[in-house]
Amino acid sequence: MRIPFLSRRRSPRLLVLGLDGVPFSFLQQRLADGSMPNLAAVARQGSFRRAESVQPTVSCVAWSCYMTGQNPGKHGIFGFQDLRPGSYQSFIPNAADLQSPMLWEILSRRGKRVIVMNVPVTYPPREVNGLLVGGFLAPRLEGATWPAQLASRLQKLDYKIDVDPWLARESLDKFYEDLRRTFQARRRSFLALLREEKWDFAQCHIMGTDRINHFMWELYETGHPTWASRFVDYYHLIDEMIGEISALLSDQDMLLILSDHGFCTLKQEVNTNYWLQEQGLLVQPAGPRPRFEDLDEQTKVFSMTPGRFYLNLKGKFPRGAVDNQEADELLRQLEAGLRALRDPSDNSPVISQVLHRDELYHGPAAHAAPDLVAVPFDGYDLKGTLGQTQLFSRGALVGMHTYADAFWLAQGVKLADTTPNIMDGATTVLAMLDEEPPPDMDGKVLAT
Amino acid sequence: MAQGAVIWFTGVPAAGKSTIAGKVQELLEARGLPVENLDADEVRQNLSPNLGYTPEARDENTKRLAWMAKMLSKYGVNVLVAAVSPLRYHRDRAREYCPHFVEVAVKASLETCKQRDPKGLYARAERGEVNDIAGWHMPYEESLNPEVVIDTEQVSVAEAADMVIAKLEELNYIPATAGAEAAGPYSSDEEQQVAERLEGLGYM
Repeated sequence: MRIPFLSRRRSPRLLVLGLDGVPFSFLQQRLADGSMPNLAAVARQGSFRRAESVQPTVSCVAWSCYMTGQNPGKHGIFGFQDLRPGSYQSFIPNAADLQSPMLWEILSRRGKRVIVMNVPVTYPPREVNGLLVGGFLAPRLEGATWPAQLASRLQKLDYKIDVDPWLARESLDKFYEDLRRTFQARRRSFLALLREEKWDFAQCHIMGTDRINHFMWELYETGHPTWASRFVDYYHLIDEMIGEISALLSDQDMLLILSDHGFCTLKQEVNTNYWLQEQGLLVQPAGPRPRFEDLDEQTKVFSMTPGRFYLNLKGKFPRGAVDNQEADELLRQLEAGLRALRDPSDNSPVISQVLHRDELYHGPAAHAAPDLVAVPFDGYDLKGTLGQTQLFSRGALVGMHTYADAFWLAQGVKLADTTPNIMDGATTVLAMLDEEPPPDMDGKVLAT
Repeated sequence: MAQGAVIWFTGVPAAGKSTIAGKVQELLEARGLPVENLDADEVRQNLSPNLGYTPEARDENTKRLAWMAKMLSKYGVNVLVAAVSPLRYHRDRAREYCPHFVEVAVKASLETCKQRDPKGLYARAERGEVNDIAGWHMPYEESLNPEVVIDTEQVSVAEAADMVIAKLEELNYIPATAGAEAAGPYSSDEEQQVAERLEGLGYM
């Protein structure tokens, strides 16, 4: 007979560390060369998997999938920039536009206490049972926390929402210092909250990994004499944090470390609106900084970063130019044109897949999705900036996102023997905490 | 007294005219503007239940609607009319009557309309009880120059209503509000700041 009091276990706790844009293959190398020993210790006891992202492969869409367990056709976030319905007015989607409950809201309603720090698309903060600090879409810390008083507590720890990406263009040294300082303050703040607060679920998001990868990935990959090692040094700081977190966890606690997409060297930026102009499908509005609002009836198709293509349909947009009857033919033409697109420097194809809205998205928000999503081969970063005057260009960004080389690493639970997708986040986390996922989630449960 | 707008929703049965008109009514009322919703079916039931459905009777009904809209809008009321009004001259006549006229062409495929069929009209036609549905048995003349075109298979009701409101603002038929972004969490300075961060990362 079991004696209830003695056999009662504390309910399981779960800590999630999100490392934005860190590739599985990169961490395999760190495990091999011993430069991330704490990560290696977790990997030895846990399940380590290569994982997949979402289309389009950007963090705001990916983490929205993670925290809602749903495809973008349900949660309604399709990119960092979108257009207000029935208009060409662009806006930056954030938590107020996310149409579904977040993982930590569900946990809060079920009586779990949560700590959530810096996850993309969590600003403006929504109420939770516990503490939440919004991610990098927050203009400043004040107003970005739940409860509001949390901001002053974090200010004392020098907490900073994000690094300044423009610094990287000015000086890599200054940018690196900003990366380090921002990370150390976040690490200090998160560990303080873990120690001082009661929690059942805690998640900290490191955005700096995506930032350093954007500006230094090529330097790392090509073995730059100074920056390649400093790049790995930054990851060593993250490994120290993994060590500190592991030390705080009990044997019953679980740990999930994951990324939302991989990274590779950026060969060329591909200006998709310039390409549409070349095809005779778009007329670039005049002026130094043309906006989507300036598009007119001469434009049949326009695109937004990355690789999102929209038919300028009559009945959907105010200056629509495409009838429903010609839509299918136009999509066929567009798809064929994209597939034929080549990099003139070596004649290699640029687009690996062209996916239609219905193949990617389903749900009440799917009508706001792009009509087509073009998926590039690694190295070709699709940009929807208007007013570009050439098809291929290169700027300060030397790294870009990849779909298939994200990772999941779980300790305290075995992951199913399959490729995780970022959309499996919320369902799996709920299952790890012995909670039933809501029926409208699309993700799979990967905890076995 | 300011002239009211007349917003005339035309389209085949079950295209979504009344639903969008209802939403536009809500939005105008929320702004404290005077609104009257003249739903063609309701007006017919209340004012002329014996009118019938011959082409002449339909013509008469749209004429009455246009005239009522004209009278109400003259006194500053914004009038919503949801009527199949299948022939161009039905709408053009209303346009002549009403100075601030906004024609909203509401579209959906026959297949979708059959599926929606809120009044059971298409089902009755399938059973052979009705054979005069505009766009199926009878001609529906597409609008040539409508102020707004809405494809209800492409946009939600809320989005459709926003499109109509935006057009009313653009034409200065109703006072413009501060704009959609003012309703969000960002001030324009803050939005600019976040946009610059995103541009710095190549995300815009």
